[in-house]
Amino acid sequence: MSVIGLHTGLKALLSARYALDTVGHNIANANTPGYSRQRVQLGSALPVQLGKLLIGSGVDVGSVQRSVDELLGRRILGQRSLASSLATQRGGLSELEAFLGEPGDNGLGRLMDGFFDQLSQLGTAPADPIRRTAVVESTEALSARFRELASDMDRQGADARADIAARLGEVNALADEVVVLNEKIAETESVGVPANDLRDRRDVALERLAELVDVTTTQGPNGSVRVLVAGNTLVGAARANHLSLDTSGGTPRVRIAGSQGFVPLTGGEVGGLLRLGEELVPGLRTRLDQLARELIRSINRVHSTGMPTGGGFRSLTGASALSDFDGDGRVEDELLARAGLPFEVTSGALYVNVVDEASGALTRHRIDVSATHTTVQGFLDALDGVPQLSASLDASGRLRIAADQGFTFDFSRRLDADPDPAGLLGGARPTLGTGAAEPFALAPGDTLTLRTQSGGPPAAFTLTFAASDFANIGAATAEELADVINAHPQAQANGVAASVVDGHLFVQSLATGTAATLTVTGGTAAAALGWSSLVGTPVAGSANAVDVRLSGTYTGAADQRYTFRPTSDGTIGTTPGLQVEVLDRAGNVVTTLDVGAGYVPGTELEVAHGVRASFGLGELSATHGDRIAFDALADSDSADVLVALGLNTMLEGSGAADIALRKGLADDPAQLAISLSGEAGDGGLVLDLLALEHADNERLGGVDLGRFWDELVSDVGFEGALADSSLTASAAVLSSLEERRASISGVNVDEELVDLVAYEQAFAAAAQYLSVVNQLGEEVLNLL
Amino acid sequence: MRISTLSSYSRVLSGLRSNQLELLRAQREIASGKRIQRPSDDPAGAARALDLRRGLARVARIQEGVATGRSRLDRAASTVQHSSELLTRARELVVQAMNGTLNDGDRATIATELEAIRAQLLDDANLEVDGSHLFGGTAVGSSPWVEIESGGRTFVVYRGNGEEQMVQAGEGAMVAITAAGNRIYGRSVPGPTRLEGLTGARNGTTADEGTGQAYLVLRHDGTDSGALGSVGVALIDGGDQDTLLGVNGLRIDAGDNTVRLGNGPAVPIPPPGQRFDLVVKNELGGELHLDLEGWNGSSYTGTVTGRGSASLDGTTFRTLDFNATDLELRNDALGQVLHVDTRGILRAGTELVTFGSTANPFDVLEGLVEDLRGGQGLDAAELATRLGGRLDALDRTHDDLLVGLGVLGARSARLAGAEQRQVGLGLELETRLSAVEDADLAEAALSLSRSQLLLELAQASGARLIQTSLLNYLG
Repeated sequence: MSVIGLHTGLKALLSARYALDTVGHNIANANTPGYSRQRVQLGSALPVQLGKLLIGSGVDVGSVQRSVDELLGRRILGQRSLASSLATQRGGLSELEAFLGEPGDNGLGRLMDGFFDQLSQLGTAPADPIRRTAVVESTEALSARFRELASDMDRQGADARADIAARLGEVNALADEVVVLNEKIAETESVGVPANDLRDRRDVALERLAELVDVTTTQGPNGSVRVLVAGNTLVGAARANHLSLDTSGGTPRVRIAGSQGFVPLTGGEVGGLLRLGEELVPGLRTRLDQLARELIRSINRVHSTGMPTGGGFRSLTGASALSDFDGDGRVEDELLARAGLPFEVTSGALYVNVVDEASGALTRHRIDVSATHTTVQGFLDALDGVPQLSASLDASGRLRIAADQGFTFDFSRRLDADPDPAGLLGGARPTLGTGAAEPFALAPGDTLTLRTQSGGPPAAFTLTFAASDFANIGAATAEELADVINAHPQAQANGVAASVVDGHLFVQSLATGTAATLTVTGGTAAAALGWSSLVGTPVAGSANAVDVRLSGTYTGAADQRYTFRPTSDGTIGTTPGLQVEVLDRAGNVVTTLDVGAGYVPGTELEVAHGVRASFGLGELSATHGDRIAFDALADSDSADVLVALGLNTMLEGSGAADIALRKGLADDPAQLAISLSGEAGDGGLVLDLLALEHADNERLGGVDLGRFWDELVSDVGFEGALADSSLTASAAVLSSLEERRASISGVNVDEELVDLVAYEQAFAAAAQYLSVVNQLGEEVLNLL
Repeated sequence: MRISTLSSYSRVLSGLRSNQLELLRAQREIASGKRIQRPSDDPAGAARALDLRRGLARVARIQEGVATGRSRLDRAASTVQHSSELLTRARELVVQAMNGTLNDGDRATIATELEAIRAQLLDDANLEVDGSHLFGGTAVGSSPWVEIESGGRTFVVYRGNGEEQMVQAGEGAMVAITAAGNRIYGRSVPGPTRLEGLTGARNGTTADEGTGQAYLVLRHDGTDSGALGSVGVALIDGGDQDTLLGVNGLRIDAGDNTVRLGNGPAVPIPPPGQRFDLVVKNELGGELHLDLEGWNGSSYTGTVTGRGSASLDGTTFRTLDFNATDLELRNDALGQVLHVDTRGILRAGTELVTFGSTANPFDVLEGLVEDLRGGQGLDAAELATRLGGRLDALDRTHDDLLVGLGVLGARSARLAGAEQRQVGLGLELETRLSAVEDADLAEAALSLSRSQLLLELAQASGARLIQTSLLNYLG
């Protein structure tokens, strides 16, 4: 009996000791992260049967158990991944917001405004060098800001990549640690002892892992844990598969050992960094590029067709190099649209003006460009074919255009002030035009006999038209006829030249004055050319050439070609009812100008869309087919070749990283080509440039430059605000989960103190019991 | 529910932290006065703020352009005003000069002052501000009004252009801030060429070409006396001193004892001995010098023809055929072509020609100076006529100047109106921007004190919580 009593007392003492030790352990770890409260499991020992009596034999200490909720733990892991992903994104977005500096005075928006402000100021005094310099400086400030933003974003992308690599290293180390802990736990628990503190350590490692990547855990055999990262095994039965960063594709991706594909991480710090480095920053960077590109394109589109203060160019070299697309070593055989130019070339036309510096005479040449057919060589040939111009590629593949000595060239859409240098509308030379346009129904062997006279004896010669001179002699074109006439030695010897206006053939004697005459004296071709009634009637020259002058600026929306032709014969300002009809390209009469009696020669008359014309003194003849035509251009480079080649541009580069003011403009702001006419006080293109600020751009999704930037800024804001609010929500969930876990696993010091008192008293009671048992024994011994 | 000690500490901590953050945010909002510090504070508001700021920048831009344009226009207007005062003074001088009692010296003095006025006027018209000529259209690089010598005279021609530089005065509203000089000084008004009528030359049938003024010089080359010799009358010096041109009737009336040329006044024949060099004039003042000493006393009716030639540039002369209705004369230096009906020409002289009805004031003043210095040998009556014509021309150019001044003033007024509108628009945008972007200070202050209170409460309750432990009561 006393043995049982002693035994019971001892167990009571020991169990109180164990419980007190556990309380001490709990109190000691009250502030240890990840520590789970431990409890000693006590149970009453099996009773001893003494005869008919079952006597309790005291308390048994079971095991020391952790108070954990495994399910709650897993939910916390998931929430932790989410929260740390959001926190990382928020950090990156805050940094982006700081780069953008909006809303603020150094933001790109304000600098764009500043650029347009300076342009507007220049518009009030286009020749002012100080205002020109201000435009140059504001352009430099704007482009520098673009480049700065681009490099900031690039650096942020690079930083994110570097961070990902470092974080993946930590993930791999933690995975290795979990493998080791798995082994130790299995070892410890194989002998039936719960490895409480090892499990706590493993939980801490898993939580850190969840902060880094999105992990899910499953229970393995022998108390081990398997860890999956986005469906791939990170920690398996006995080993860890390491993660690695792959940046070969431009954007960062994560790979895992033992698998081919990428790991689609979204959670954890790594997930957040991937979203930043793979999606947000590159997305913004692309949009910034788009903005810079459209700014360059639209500004250059206007600027490239302008003229600097000093008039046209003697030579120009493109900023963009042409490249060998098919790799055959030659650039010239490439299609212009596919020769590696930063901006696309579309099908359209480029107009080149060549100006004779001595006389001021302008000749306009049209070069057609097809996106699908025009090759670099073809374009070079076309430019080279323009009289007084030469075009070539320099060593680095850039186009160079140069004008001959005494000539300049430009691409302005201005009106040709003198549209009739040859004098086809009442000129001083005897001129005869066909009343009808091509085709002319000639027959092989048809002849035309012309006689010229100028003071001296008359000279006559006969032209014969052979079938071989024409593609189809039955439908001869005016160009073909003019070629035949101009090539004829007799025509050259007698000073007869042919020219063409809109399919009408003109034959002129180059002598001037009333004494000079040109007569069609016969020939079988006269009928086909509509000159039957004029055969034998001399066409005389004139002392006063009708001086046709154009002024104003064409304001029409589309390119137009106007034709002037008199409706009757007569003298400007004198003959009653004399009129000049104005036809548009389609041949419709746009307006009729009264130039007869009552018109003062030289007075400007409104033609159409801002074009004005004046007619000097002289004689017009409808009978002789007087007619001139001239281009009124809305866009002198509808093919966008100048922008693509970088000729006479204001900005260089093709995106945010390389946008810059064109070299040379900073040193010589006079080269800013804002004049339409080349006059110093003409800022005709400034208003066009200013209009770009409001112009909705298809390539920017149908909004203007400023709004595109607003949207970009507010999207960064939205992302930031979204991350902010998600983070707040997620943090709240996390903290409530953790609170619940704390209520299960956490240590409450007060509670432990109560336990301490309870077990202390239990220990004292057990000791008292032992002393009673002992006394009982002694008393029995004393009996003996 | 169990409360773990660690979590109660961390709750106290996070409570303190979040209240401090609130406090900081409220403080920053008050300090900067801005509600939106960065786009994520209010993304939609940030976009609207950017848009409004751009609107404000545009308003400021237009205001600045308008202000520059106005100062330009006002400068131009004050210059034209000055020119107008000069022309008023010139008019006074011309009226003074028309007073018949003045002698040559007085007129020369007036001429000198007119010359000075012309020089000042030319300076006005070639006004240069900040390196650009205000009255040259868009050709601002060089002086728009240029002096050209032709036939020994100085003419002023316009070398600017008629284009205008526009400035934006609002959305889509453009106002020209330059003025083409040829619409202010010497506006060319379509109209027929004016001939002064000194010589009887009239407009030809064909239209003329040119602007400004010119001098049609009709030269007397010789006189055909017809059958005058039959009554013993001869020409003086073979007719070299004559100025008559064309076919003139000559009647010597023995009864009245007078000689009459054409429709001119009948001149009494003086007594013998004083009959050498009798000057008879036709209706236009064309003179015929006759020697009547050998006159046989009988009446005579016949014709005397003055041969002559004409020139517009003073160097190239074309022989006059007094039947020609459309004689063409040119001055290529000034780009002028004149057609003259020669049938009415009766005297030699320098005829003032005004193309397109209006001359520029420089040419008028230049001509006045020449007239007053007696450069063209006009007699008093002719001088008075010519000065009268000049005065009319001067008045017309003055009118044009005033029209131009009105245009400049109207443009300036339009810009002033635009400026007003932009100021209003700017204020409205400012208000809207402020509503979007600016902190509501009362609210911010309230939130500041609330966060402060909350923080203090959190601190106090946290301190209390941390102190509360069973340990305090265990002996």
